[in-house]
Amino acid sequence: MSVFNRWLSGALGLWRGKRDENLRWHLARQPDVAALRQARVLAEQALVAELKKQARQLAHELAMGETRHGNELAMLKIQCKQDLKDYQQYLQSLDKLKLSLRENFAHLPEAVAFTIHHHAKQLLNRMWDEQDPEEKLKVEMQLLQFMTAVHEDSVGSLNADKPVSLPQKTLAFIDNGV
Amino acid sequence: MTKIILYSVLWVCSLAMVLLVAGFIGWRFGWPELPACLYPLAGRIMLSAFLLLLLLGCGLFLQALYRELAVYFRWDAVALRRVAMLQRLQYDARQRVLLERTQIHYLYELKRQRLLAADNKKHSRALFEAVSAELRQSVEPDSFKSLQKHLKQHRSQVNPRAMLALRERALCRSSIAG
Repeated sequence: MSVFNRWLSGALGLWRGKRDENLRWHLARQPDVAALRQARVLAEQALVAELKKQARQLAHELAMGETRHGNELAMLKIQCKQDLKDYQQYLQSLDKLKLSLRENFAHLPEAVAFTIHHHAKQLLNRMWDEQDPEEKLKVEMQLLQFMTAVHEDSVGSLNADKPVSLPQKTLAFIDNGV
Repeated sequence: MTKIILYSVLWVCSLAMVLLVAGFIGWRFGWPELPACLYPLAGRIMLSAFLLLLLLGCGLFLQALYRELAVYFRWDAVALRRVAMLQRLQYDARQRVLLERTQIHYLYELKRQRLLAADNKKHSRALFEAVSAELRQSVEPDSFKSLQKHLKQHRSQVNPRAMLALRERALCRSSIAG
């Protein structure tokens, strides 16, 4: 029995010794652990603060972007509406061009008047569809020259002594394939 | 804690198995009262072991759920999710603006094409009237009917070029014949 008691107390002593050693080890590292824990908490707080700042900035940018995009879209709508109005006015002025041709050249066949009008409309559509600004300007100049030729023909017909049958300058313009 | 519960479950299972074996041995040695007493007891002990295991599973599940919820609602996780949501909103807003721009351009182009189509139709109709009147005077009534049929077809297709070509052909033919 005494052998067992001795063995048991030896084992318990060993176990207590190990526990004490373990406790001392933990106590020795307690400041480091506390410092690390503190650093971790501080890092987490800094991260949260940084994230909150980023979120505020993003929310602000989002609000600004919404306003900017709203304005851009409104401007675009106005611009498109204006473009449409311009196009409609162009079409109406081409109609007037055709009417003035008919009035000034009494014997002008409808087919010729239509061809002149059609040519002007083609130039207009080319100008409208062109994406390159330089090319657009070039086509616009062609349209202007064409309308000027029609106008000159009309004025020439009004000032002529004898009635003129055809708008020569305009037809020459079309023939040249401009 | 989990380890302790698992060991407890194993111990209880082992106890139940020992009781079952003891009951079996008693039966083999001709003591029928022993299995009659031990078997139900072993069954209940086994059941309690499984119940304990089930409770352990539930406990582990609840613990995992609590941990996940705690991680989900941590300050830094919440802030991170908010930043991600705002970034997503910003991206979506940019995409929406692009789509809205495309839509506005599309609607504008559609309206312009409608204007153009209406204008083309109007002038095509005028050309039809003029060519029809011209042909009525220039060609014979029999051939005029067939020509007008073709003209109507071209008018419905809004094809002024075909109308002009038809007019030219018909006038050439009538001038050769006449």
